[in-house]
Amino acid sequence: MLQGSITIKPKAVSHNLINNRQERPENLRPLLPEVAKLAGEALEFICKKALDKLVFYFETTKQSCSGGDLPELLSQTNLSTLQKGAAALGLYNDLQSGKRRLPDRPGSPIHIRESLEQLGDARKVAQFRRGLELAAKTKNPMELLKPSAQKKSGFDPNAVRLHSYSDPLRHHKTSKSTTVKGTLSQNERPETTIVQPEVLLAKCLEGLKNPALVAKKGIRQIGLLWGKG
Amino acid sequence: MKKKRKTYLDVLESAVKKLWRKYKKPAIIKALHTEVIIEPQPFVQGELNPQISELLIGLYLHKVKTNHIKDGHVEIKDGFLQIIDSRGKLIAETASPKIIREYLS
Repeated sequence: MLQGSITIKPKAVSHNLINNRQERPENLRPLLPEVAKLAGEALEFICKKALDKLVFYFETTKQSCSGGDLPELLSQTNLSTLQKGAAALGLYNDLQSGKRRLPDRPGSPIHIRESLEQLGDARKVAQFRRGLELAAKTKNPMELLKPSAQKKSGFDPNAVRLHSYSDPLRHHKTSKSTTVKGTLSQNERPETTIVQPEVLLAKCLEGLKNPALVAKKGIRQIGLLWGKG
Repeated sequence: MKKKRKTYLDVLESAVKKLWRKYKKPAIIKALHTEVIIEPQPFVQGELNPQISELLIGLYLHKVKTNHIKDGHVEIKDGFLQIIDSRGKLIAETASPKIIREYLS
């Protein structure tokens, strides 16, 4: 068979494996009451701090809402508080890892194909629980958003990592004050300024018969080229 | 074939490049059959390239240092080293610590 074809089929994952994954002991273990109480606050924190200025469009329900209003939208579902938090954290993580791309233009919506129930699946609930426990332990809500708080799932080769968009929080920070590294703000004085380049060039140029004339005419020419003459 | 006449700008650019090669060690990327010499463009958007500017200030100070110190044409003000011409107009100024250190020494 010279021109044959080879089909490589992925192995089907057994249902037992899926069930085991969903029913990890850590998901079954009840949260400490004082930690469980923080779940609502944590959801608010994620939505207000990390997703606030983003707009989501949920294709399944055809609803759009801003990140800040996500708790309200989630409250209309039958999800538990942990699942709601997991959904929000999942969105944040997907944006941070590049699995979901931020829109090119700020303010345009991010399309979400999954339903809210799918967003808050068992794996994400486990991540949210872990983050919640760590945040309660350290008394620092930022721990929720740190990747170290979540399960090390390894590098996703399908994730598109865009440097400028890798961290939604950083994206907002830079979009507020558009300071780009390497450029100067209006009040900043440049390190070196040359007001009369022809004087310096006339003194420094070597191997020319008349360096002053070359410097003067050359600078005038470049000034004319750039409309400064 | 008619030879293209060099403009003053061409002469100036080649002279500046020659100066750079003489006083600065250009970075060279060596391949098997090729060598790529990296050097800055003398002018960027109609302005002197900052790397060239620093070189020129350093050279200028090196050449005129003693006379200008006596005449007070070089002074350090607000952390900036300023070069002033005979009419009291600013020629150039720099805050480069390297140049200031070399000048003071």
